[in-house]
Amino acid sequence: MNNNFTTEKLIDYIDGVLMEDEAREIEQSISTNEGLRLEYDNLLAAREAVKHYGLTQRVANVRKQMKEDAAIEKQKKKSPVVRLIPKRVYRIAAGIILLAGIFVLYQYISISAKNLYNEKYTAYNMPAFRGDNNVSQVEKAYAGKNYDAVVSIYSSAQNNTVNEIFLAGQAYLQKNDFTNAITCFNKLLAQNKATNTHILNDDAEYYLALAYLQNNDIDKATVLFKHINNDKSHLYNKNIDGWFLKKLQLLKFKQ
Amino acid sequence: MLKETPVTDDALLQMIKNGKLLNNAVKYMYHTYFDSLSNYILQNSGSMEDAEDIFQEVIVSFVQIVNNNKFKGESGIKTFLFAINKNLWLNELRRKDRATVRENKFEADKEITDNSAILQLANRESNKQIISIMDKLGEACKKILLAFYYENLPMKEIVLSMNYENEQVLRNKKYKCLKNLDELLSENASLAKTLKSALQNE
Repeated sequence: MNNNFTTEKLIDYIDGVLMEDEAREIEQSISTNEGLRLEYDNLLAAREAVKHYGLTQRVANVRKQMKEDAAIEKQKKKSPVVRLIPKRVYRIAAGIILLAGIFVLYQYISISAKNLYNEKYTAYNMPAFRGDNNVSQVEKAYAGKNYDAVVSIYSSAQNNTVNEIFLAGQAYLQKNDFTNAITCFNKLLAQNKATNTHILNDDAEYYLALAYLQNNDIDKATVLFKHINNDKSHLYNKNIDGWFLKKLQLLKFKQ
Repeated sequence: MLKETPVTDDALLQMIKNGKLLNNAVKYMYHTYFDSLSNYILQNSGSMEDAEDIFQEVIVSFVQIVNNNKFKGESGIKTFLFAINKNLWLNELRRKDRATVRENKFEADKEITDNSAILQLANRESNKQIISIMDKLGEACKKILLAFYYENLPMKEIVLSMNYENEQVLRNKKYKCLKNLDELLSENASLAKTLKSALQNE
């Protein structure tokens, strides 16, 4: 301590926290009092040591960090990357992806309503006759594969049975007359609905969907095929799988 | 980081003066100048360890000179750093009394001469002594003094970060720490003298 000033006050002066009057007073004393001046210089030197130490440590830490980063980088370059999956697997995967791509491209290029129709269409085979008395003219003509006669008899008759309507639809399919086939199958389904019966209902739905497909009415065909695919008890459920529905989507996209 | 991106001398000086960018400036100087400056040390009887130590002192001195606005830019930064490097290394050799000193007559440029007091502080011996004294203070004192005088953090922030009861408690502790440091320095007259002369250069 020198004069009236404590060391604490001197430190406050160095820290710049004294009021203006006090600071001026201490400044004057430092300039006139040798002892106070020496203490002041020593405290400044102590502060300088702290600053120098702080800066030196900071630079040293930056350098240390740089060396650590460089060592990690060097290690990364040295040690080969451990592949969890062998290169061969990558090649096989790439090959599979390429083949899948080619397959999808092929499907896209080759897909058509006709192809899908041919894939799913099978000519309807009538069950064996139970006896001549119960067999209609339409049924006989269909059994004899005389499709023109089927259509002719069907068209001229006033009242056709559900079975006759169905066979007429099948005959139109054989004749590639898909519009009339659609009319027949829709007529059958409407009649079933009106009478609350299900005679040949599943068959009519399946062939109606095919007729729509061949008639390029993909949306209506898709609705029916999805219904068949969803209904596990449908007679034709096994015929329509998810992949076929995907192909329908692709056909729609292509359109 | 900055090695690939050249920085102008003015930009580097701004980075040094901006405390937050100082680390980037230091990295840049290491990336850009370390090889050529260390080469000088290696070609003049020095080891890689010498080169590392001297370069660190070069950086510390240069930062102090810049922060004290003593770098006038009469030569470029590269030339100036090279001059400090040479100056510090020849001083080191003189200190070790190596014969090679006689062969390396050093002609300091004016800017180096103007900053000779700061450069006096930049030598291994002074650094070792400062580190030794700071270590004697203890970790708590070291942290408080560094936070206040080097990092220039406000008291309130230091109170929070170091969990002191209040500012007055911290102020009392800081006072004791600085007083301890003052006493430790008084036991090392030559270091105290070097520090004081460096201060006069500011």
